[in-house]
Amino acid sequence: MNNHYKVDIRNMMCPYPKYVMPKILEKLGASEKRTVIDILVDCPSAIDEIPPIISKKGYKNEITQISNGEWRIRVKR
Amino acid sequence: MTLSKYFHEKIFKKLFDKTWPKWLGGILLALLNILLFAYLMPLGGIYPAVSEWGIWTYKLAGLEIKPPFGSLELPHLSIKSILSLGLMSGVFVSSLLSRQFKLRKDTPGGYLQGFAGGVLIGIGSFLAGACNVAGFYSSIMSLSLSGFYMMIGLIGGGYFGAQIMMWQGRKKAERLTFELIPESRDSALKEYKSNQPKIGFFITFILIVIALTYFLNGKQILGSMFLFGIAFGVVFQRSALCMAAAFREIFTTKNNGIMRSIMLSLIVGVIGFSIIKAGGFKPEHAFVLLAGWHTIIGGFVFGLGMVIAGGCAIGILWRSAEGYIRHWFSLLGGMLVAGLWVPVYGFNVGKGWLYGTPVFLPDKLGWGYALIIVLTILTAFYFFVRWIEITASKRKELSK
Repeated sequence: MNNHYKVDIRNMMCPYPKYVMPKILEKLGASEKRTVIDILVDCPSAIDEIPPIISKKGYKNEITQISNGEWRIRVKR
Repeated sequence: MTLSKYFHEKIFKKLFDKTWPKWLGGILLALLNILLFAYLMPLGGIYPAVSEWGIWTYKLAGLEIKPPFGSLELPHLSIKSILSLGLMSGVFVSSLLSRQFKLRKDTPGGYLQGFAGGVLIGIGSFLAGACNVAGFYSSIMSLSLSGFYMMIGLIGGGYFGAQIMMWQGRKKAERLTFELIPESRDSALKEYKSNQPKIGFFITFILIVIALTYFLNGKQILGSMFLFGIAFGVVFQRSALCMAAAFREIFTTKNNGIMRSIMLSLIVGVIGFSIIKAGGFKPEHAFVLLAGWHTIIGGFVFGLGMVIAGGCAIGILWRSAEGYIRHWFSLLGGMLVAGLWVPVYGFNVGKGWLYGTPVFLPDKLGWGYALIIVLTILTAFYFFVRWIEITASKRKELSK
């Protein structure tokens, strides 16, 4: 069963990435337990501001830089 | 451990890997501003610099426009321009060293909004007689009543800007697409090897050469302003102290860390500036601007503009240097409006009852009361936004 999603919000400038986070976490919350969502962002402040939003909901996150000024934030339940 | 490895692990990574704590950024900005004031003038002149660039742009298009202040100098020979250019260079280097530089595209609507925000920033600066940095940040440090007037306007404009941004955020959230990734392609990522730090070191070297060229040609002030600009740019970029975010987040996520560090910065700055002024090192009325309805209305228009553009006067320079194409449009909008300063306003900026008069608070209240009242207002606002933060997070926990 495939439950790995990708949301590409590169080119979405600050502050929009954090404003769309509730929607992404809602999707994660409604999916089955093993679901993973990869969020691709290119806004430097997002990598500081998004992890606290994720951990506040009790989810786990992991940040990897994928290119210059681009990161992948992996969210898990 | 070799020396280069030690440098990389202990110094470089600390400086350019993680964002600096906001409070540290706030204090560093205040200290830099105190030094800059003791040297020449406080951080400001961003708007006049943008205005000069606008006039040059019109000139290239064949239109002759008079500058609002003094004579028009080439950007690399103008004290105001060189501070702003230094700031952009500092941001550029800092973003390269942090592996964060990228040309960031946006939608046509995003560019248009950036341009519109820049235009509003321009109009707001006309009305207030200064941008947010000179009119709010450095003015409050200078114990000028105008700084608080502009702050009131910025909060009002920030409120309406925040509503627009949140509405757009909700629309963007609805349009999100969740793409399924096949299991087989789910490989673990290796740490990205970037060549940007190397380019960053090379550009740092070029910037040092530029600064040295000024000094060796007897242009100490220009060289120093360039270096100050670079230092400000690095601190802004590394601590992500975005003033547009400070005035926006009070009304949106209510994470007020940036606003609190700006208050902290102002408190440190007020003390430093007061020592410089009361000690007679600089004239008491330095940077005391006109305080009147224009300041409040200008602050309002400016506040709205900076929030929808996604950066204040410094913010649009900074984001432009980080590669945000949207902010190039904001800068262009600001330049085209600021360049029209004289044709629109003549030399009447600051004249008329709406502008009010400059009020230096110690003149009205005495040094003691002026300091007590200003520091109390700043501290009270610090705790007020902290209170907003705490009550908002409690409400969220209850609704879980």
